[in-house]
Amino acid sequence: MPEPESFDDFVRACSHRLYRVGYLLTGGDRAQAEDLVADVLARVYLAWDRIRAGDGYGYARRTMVNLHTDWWRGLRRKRETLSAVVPDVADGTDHGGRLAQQDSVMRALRQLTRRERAVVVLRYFLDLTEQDTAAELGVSLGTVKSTNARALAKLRVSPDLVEPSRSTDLPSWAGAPTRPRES
Amino acid sequence: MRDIHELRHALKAETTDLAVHISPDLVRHRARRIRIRQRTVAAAAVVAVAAGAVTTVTLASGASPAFEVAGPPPASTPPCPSPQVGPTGEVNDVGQLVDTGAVLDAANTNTRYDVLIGLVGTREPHSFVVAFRNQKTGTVDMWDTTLVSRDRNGDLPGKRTGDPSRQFFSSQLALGPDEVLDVGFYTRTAHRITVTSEGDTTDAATSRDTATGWTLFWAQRRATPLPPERHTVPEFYQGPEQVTLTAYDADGRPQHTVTGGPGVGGSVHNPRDASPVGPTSPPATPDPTCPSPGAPR
Repeated sequence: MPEPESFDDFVRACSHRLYRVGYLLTGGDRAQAEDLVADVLARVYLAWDRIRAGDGYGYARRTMVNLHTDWWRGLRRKRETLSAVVPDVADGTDHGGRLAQQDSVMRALRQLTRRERAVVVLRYFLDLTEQDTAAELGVSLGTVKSTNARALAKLRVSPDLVEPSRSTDLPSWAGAPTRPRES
Repeated sequence: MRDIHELRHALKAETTDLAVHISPDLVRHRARRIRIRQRTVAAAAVVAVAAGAVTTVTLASGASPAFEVAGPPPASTPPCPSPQVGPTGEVNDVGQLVDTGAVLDAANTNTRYDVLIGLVGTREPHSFVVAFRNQKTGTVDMWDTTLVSRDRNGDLPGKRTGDPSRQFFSSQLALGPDEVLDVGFYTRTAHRITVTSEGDTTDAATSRDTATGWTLFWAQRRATPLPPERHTVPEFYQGPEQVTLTAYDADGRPQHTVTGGPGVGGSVHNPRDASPVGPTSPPATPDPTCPSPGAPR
């Protein structure tokens, strides 16, 4: 990405990308994702003089991951809870299979812990290596590997990600043996 | 969805059509609120430290590894002076803490800290401090405090009489296996300060302290941390990780440069490592003590 000429340019250029990451990190909560992006950009603004010539997006992305972790704790401390109850998809209107699948992805992501979700997002949405993911999260490579394995194991058996026509053919991510889902 | 490829595709497809509009003005407004909050916390921390409760680590001028650990507090601790006015009436706060933007991840305690630096105390003497703000609680601990003195020309005095004065002080905090934060100050005004090790140069962020005329600097960068053995070698450490600091004027001309040596490349004591630890640890301080405005203890 060419160096933005101003902070406003940076906001325009990166908001959408950051929002996508925030949307996934928050498990599909648009309002929280937007709030998270605004918080991240505010911190970028405070550090703008020293990061403008560097990788501003990388800085923002790292800030977002860190902030999300701490933010989640803050919400918990303030007794504001992220809803564990997934809202119903069906409202009488059939928006088609794609929409249903998208929502199922978010439902599956919500079943993960924040760290597991962060690892999945960094590894499979941002396509970072395990090493880079470890650096981004400030954890060891072994932690990334084990967290990733746990996350994939959860997704593997998530009822939201099992294709209806193949309800007994479960995904075989991470090389784990497949087995029928217990109902 | 059967494999990683489909997971990748689903994550990207899920977010492609999202629309967001965040106004730069909204961001600036939020940034101002954050800054006010940070300054409030920092100011409260300065008052708290002035009232006592700080582990004082003093810099012996020119000594390597540059730190001497404070001894036990005096048996009778005098009452703390006002945090605003010193014993001779001077203003007792020479500056504010600056947020370096770096985060120390103390995974061992499941805590993350924002790293702050600043000059606190009286105008002379005063201390260079590295403080850690707990991201969970917002509390600030001035963990690493280095008492410094100024020569007549405003520089750091040499170790012995006749030794040349020095312009730089820096220490390093390892944030990860290949990421470090170098923090310190330059005793003059500089247009630009760079930090170099292993042949890689990074521009440091700077903040001028108006009370002292010194320039605080910090640089978070990818680099191999200075090895702990640097403190045990007979002379100053000279490996590839040793730090070179250079200050430039507005025309890009180097004003001063230094590579390693006294006062450059020390360690930042921090809550993650619970440092200082080991045989050089200070005795446990049962009660808070007042920061001493006198000579290094």
